[in-house]
Amino acid sequence: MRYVIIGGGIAGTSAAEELRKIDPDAEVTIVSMEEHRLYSRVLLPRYVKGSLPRERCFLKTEAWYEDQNIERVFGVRAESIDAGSKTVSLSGGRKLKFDKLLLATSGDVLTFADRMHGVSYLRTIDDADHLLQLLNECDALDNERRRAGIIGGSFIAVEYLNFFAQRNIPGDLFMLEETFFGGALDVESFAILRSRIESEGAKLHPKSSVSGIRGKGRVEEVVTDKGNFSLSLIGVGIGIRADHRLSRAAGLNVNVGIVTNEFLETNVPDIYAAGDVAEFYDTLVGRHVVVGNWLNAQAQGKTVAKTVAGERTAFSAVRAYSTNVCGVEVIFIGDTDLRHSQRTLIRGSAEEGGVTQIFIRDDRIVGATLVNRNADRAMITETIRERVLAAEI
Amino acid sequence: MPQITVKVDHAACSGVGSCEQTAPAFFKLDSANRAMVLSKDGVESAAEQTLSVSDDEAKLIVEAAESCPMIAISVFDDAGGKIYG
Ligand SMILES: Cc1cc2nc3c(=O)[nH]c(=O)nc-3n(C[C@H](O)[C@H](O)[C@H](O)COP(=O)(O)OP(=O)(O)OC[C@H]3O[C@@H](n4cnc5c(N)ncnc54)[C@H](O)[C@@H]3O)c2cc1C
Ligand code: SF4
Repeated sequence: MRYVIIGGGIAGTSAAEELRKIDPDAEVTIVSMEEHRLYSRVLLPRYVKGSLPRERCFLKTEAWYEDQNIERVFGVRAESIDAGSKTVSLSGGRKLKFDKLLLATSGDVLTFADRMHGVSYLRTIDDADHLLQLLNECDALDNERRRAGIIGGSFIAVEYLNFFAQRNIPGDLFMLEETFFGGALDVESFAILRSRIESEGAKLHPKSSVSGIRGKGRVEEVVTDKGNFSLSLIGVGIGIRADHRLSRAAGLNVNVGIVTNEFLETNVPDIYAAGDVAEFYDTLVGRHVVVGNWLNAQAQGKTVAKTVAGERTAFSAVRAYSTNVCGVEVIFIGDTDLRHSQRTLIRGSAEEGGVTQIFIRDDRIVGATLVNRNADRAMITETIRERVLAAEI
Repeated sequence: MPQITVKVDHAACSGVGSCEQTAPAFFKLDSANRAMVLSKDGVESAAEQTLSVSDDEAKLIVEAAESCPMIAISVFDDAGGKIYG
């Protein structure tokens, strides 16, 4: 058997590892655009904050790939897939034959304007290196120019708040929505975060839009509908988007992600998708979803490997994402897309210092956001897993 | 039966839950959303436990430690040598 995996992140690497366990004789190849062996994106914020050496972000050694007999074709882009002849064409001209193909390509970071000096994105370890350099430069400026900005209200955008707070760099955050995380957070939860963040010296500008970044050779000013702000560093966290040209040309159904069933099988036989790029049918919430989190990508990689190797296995897990914003714990569980929920319930309040927002669809609890209410996690996870009726809690 | 010591660094753990998913018999998130190590009967939980386990169980625990994206879990052998972390 010849297995080819495109994408050497956690989904692709977990799949390769699992395939090797199931089939010691198979040929397993990972193709990835990044040169680096597997590292933890989740650890990048700690590396940027200086609490972890760069080397510690790597989760696999060079020797691991050799020991596992997994062929690494890194620093190379998969440019086209021919589903008929079962061939992947790579940048540089090489062609790879496959019996089964896994797409674990996640997405490209959405950029704002051009890559002017002083603009930071955070997806790869190279981005983290670049950000560290920009933070050091900004830190060294005189007080007047020592200011930073953030565009977006995503999980990545709020990480920048932590970076700036740690160095006491005053910052302004601009986002289109009224609250963080695409507006998924309710106003009470947002109020808790806002007061903590603003007490650390940053200023939030919800419902504001940025129309441009100005400067001669490097960032000097951001232009928004709330006025112009001078700054010398700007972090952009407006999400990722999959480049579907590859998949579309291969005849795969694509929407936001590559559409799969609960087995992570695409509409084309012998082609599968896993991780951030998969728009899979989530049996627990009853719709197709795209999930951007580590555990999901890791678990999907492991599960899809079984299906790829012939033991058809459905993927099912209650997803969760937790983060800490300036000392406030935030947890997302299950399906927290407001457009797909019929109503929400609020437990707690800003005054009490903690809020749980529960998302309900078809009378069942499908998701929740928890702000400073970690203790609710176990109960909510259980109610989603067991498909408990909202009326029963 | 090898004896191993399993330790979760709570300053590093962010409650991602890969450990619990990989080895639910040995790891559980507590009410503060931090991973705890369970004793073999599943009763006691603590940030650090010394456990007598079978070779397969030891392998599973190391796999759980390797699955943690925060590298928050360390595993030591009975002589105090680091197996992972
Ligand atoms: C800074 C940061 C912090 C995060 N913190 C958390 C957290 O606290 N908790 C959490 O759960 N999640 C967190 N995440 C999200 C988590 O890291 C991702 O969900 C996860 O890494 C996705 O894994 P993946 O394997 O699907 O994709 P990726 O790891 O993105 O891997 C995809 C790989 O495919 C390659 N690729 C794409 N197209 C091609 C092509 N055509 N040819 C060849 N290669 C290609 C890419 O270069 C990339 O290396 C964080 C992410 C970031 C960036
Ligand atoms: S996998 Fe790591 S970060 Fe996640 S809960 Fe376990 S110890 Fe904590």
